[in-house]
Amino acid sequence: FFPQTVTENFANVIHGLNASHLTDLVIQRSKRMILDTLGVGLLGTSTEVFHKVIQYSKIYHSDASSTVWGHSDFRLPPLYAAFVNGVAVHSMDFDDTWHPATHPSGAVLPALLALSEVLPQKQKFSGLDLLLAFNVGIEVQGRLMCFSNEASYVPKRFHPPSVVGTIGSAAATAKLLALDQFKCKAALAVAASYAGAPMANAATQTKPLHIGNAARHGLEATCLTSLGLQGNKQILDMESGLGAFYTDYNPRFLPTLQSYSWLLDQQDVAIKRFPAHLGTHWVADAASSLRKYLVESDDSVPFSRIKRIVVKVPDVRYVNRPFPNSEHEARHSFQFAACTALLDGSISIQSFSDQNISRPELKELLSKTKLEHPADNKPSFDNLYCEVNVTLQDGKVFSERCDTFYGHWRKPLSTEDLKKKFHSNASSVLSVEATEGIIETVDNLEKVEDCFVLSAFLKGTQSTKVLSKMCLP
Amino acid sequence: MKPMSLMHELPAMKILQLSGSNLSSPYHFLRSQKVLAASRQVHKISVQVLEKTAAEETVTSSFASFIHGVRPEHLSEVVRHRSKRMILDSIGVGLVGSTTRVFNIALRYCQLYASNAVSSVYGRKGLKLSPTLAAFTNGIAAHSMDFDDTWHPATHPSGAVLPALLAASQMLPPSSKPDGLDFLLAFNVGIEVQGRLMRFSTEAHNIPKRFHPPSVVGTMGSAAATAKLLSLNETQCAHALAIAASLAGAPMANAATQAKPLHIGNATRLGLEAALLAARGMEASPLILDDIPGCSGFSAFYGEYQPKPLPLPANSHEFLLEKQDVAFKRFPAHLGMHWIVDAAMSARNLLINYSGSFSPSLIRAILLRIPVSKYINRPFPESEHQARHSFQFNACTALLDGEVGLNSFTDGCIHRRELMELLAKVLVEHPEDNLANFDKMYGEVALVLENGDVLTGRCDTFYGHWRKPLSRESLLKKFRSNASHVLPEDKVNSIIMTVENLENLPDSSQLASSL
Repeated sequence: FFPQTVTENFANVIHGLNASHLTDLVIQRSKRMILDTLGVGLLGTSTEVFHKVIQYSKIYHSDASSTVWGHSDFRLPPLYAAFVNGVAVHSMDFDDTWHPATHPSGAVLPALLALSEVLPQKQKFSGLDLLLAFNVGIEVQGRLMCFSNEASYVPKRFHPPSVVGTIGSAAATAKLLALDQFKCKAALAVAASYAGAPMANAATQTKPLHIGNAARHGLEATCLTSLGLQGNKQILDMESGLGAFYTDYNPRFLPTLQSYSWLLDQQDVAIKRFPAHLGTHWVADAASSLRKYLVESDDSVPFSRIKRIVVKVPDVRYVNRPFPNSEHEARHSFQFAACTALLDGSISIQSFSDQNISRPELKELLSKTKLEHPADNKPSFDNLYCEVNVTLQDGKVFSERCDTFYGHWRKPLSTEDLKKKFHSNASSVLSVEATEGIIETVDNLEKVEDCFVLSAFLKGTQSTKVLSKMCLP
Repeated sequence: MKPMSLMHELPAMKILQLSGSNLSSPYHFLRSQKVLAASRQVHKISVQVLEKTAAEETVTSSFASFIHGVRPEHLSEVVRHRSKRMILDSIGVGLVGSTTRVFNIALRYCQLYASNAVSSVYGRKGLKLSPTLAAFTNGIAAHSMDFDDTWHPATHPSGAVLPALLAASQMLPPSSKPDGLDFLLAFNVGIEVQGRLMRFSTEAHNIPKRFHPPSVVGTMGSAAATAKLLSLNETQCAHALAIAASLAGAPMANAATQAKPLHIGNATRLGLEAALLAARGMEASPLILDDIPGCSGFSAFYGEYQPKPLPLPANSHEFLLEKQDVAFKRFPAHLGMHWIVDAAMSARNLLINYSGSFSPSLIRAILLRIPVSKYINRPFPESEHQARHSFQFNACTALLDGEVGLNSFTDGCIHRRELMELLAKVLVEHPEDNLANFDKMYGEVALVLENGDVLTGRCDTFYGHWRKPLSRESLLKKFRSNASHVLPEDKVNSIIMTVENLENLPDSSQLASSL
């Protein structure tokens, strides 16, 4: 049969080739290559760089391990703890979003927490240490994104967390370990060689790995640097350095330490109210508002009376999915968000269950939905808007527009609602005690003497011993 | 090929015990850093001192200074407040996320690392690591000296594939070990995929400027090869490629540094990982290699991108390796150096014939005619990594010594006075017809003598290039010389025999265990 895509075709070929396809010449040449590679590799085991990575990799033999959030029954080596916890953070597209666009916290926090657990008991990290390192990781990401105009828009080529998130994780972990300037520089350089994942894997199951890998690889870069590994000392300056990930690249110096001004001071993040791409939050707010014109007395929407739905959004290809087939696609679909919000009044975690994704009433609405891309609707999380127009069979038209959804940095979630979101999420795996414990610990983070307590709560231990270790005044 | 069900047949994994907090940590190398930070009280003064020292010259060092020098006092109220909100939200989201399917897959994958040390490490008999880490270290070893093979279009194909296969061959249970022919096939799949991908962009024909090719196509090749060895089904093969794409891509700036070998180490490790994740059911974009306007897949790594389907295998498939061989290096340096060294040796011979011996004092200037390529144009390299990527260094070493070998890159040799004197006489020219392309470039060394005479040596095709491949004797000589650094002679011979008869090997993991 004829393959439909190049990718599929590759997969077919990889799968379909067998030994009989090998010619003599190919066999001969490839054996020469294998032999040469082995020799070169054996020789290479006498190099310094090899010694360093051996030292590093032997870690995986050890008993040293870090918490896997929500699991008290086993632990993982810190690299993998950072990886899985990072994946968890981004698994539902429920994590924070910044401007310029990236998901800053998921790339940094898992790495820091995992790292904080593997140093000897005598050296503890205070809450303030954690807070500082965390902010370093966030700040570096923000500053790097200012190096390119491309970064102000919703991305098209590389998924930003995989680029700046990896560097941010390296910076944060280097800070936590108090590496000297030379090693900080090297950590940035080594991290750059791990950065960069293409956008095409957004809206797939692999997307969460972008954050997991950013966290893990930044941490790895720092660990390798601690062992003395070096990279290019001008990694951020060169177009062939971090510039490789951008088409326009203008690196800039940071402000002086005398009076440092943090980007987070001027630009807050957006916190999501439901687990889907940020762009869908405008759509949900507009559609829910519009819904009130349509509901009957029993709070249902007579969807058969709807003739046409037009959703006006910026042109963002990877969130344009008329008929999503999986939860990952549904989280990246303007159309799905509009129809779900119209039907149910709001979007929640449950909206993405298999059942809800394949509801007939939803499919009917989806088939009546189309997107429009007004020229003034720019693909930037700072400027975009959403307008939803619904035309009924009898000709009546209703319209609602959302410029700033609740949770956006211009309209941040209240403390109450932030805690409510946390409660709802955490209590799915932790006890009430642990949930409350985390809220209280984070609330007073600068005063916490040993941030080990945070990890203890995270794994789900229920002992009162943990509470007493919090050492709050 | 038998389809594999990996997890059920692997030896029982030990679940890590909850670690006691009083065990001494193997992360001791990290401990020393923390000690430095213990002087929190001395902050203010030392911060000021730091800021007054030499003005930071680069953006990179300004970042490093910031990371190093920033203190809690620098955190404003607003920043503290906002960042605590972020932390809280992030944890909550992570906790609920730990109930998802993707998390479950990633977790089951990571549990392999508990203590699954089954794969061999080059030159370390008795030491085993978990498969991806063994692949990582062995890949690094392969590229650590820039001594590994080079192809056209340019990449280092074998180092990105072989370590993953060796490691994977040892992780499979005895009942499903691939034989030598399976192994050879998988290896060739990995090479072929790399070659095919490089043909998606004309950019790839020339010496790279942006992304280091092994980190781009090498990762994909490793994923493809491993997927093949593990007999993944078609869908899984596609996902392996797509997952690998999200792990690909390292910038050129780290070439000529100590970090460069990691590009191959990571390519082979992460490609293996991608295949293992695909085997566990991880899914990714089904269009990763296709051109999707507005949402880049693999095209993200190239400026212009025209993907082409691979011909379907019927009874015969023409592998690229059939038409286009690799180049093997005769000494451990960037491929471009090999032309200039051969040219320099010609020029040296001319000088010896001319004046009876090689006398540097007769030389007024040394003109190198080379293609334009910034990362291999280094007048005064300071480290072995830079030296391996310096036309000037390699030309002068060849002129001085009559050859370039392993020892040419030791610290002692790099900083020799006689060499520095010669380097000072070098001028570089970039003739328009000398293209930065391993198929077309040439090297010319012109010795301009004090008396005005000019002696020119030129090399269009060095010995080891695909147009003039190493003989079997030369290839074996190189292998013996390399391998004998860490293995006894009988082992060295047995590896040679095993590889030469690879198709007949009943259990390919024997190759890995013989290292």
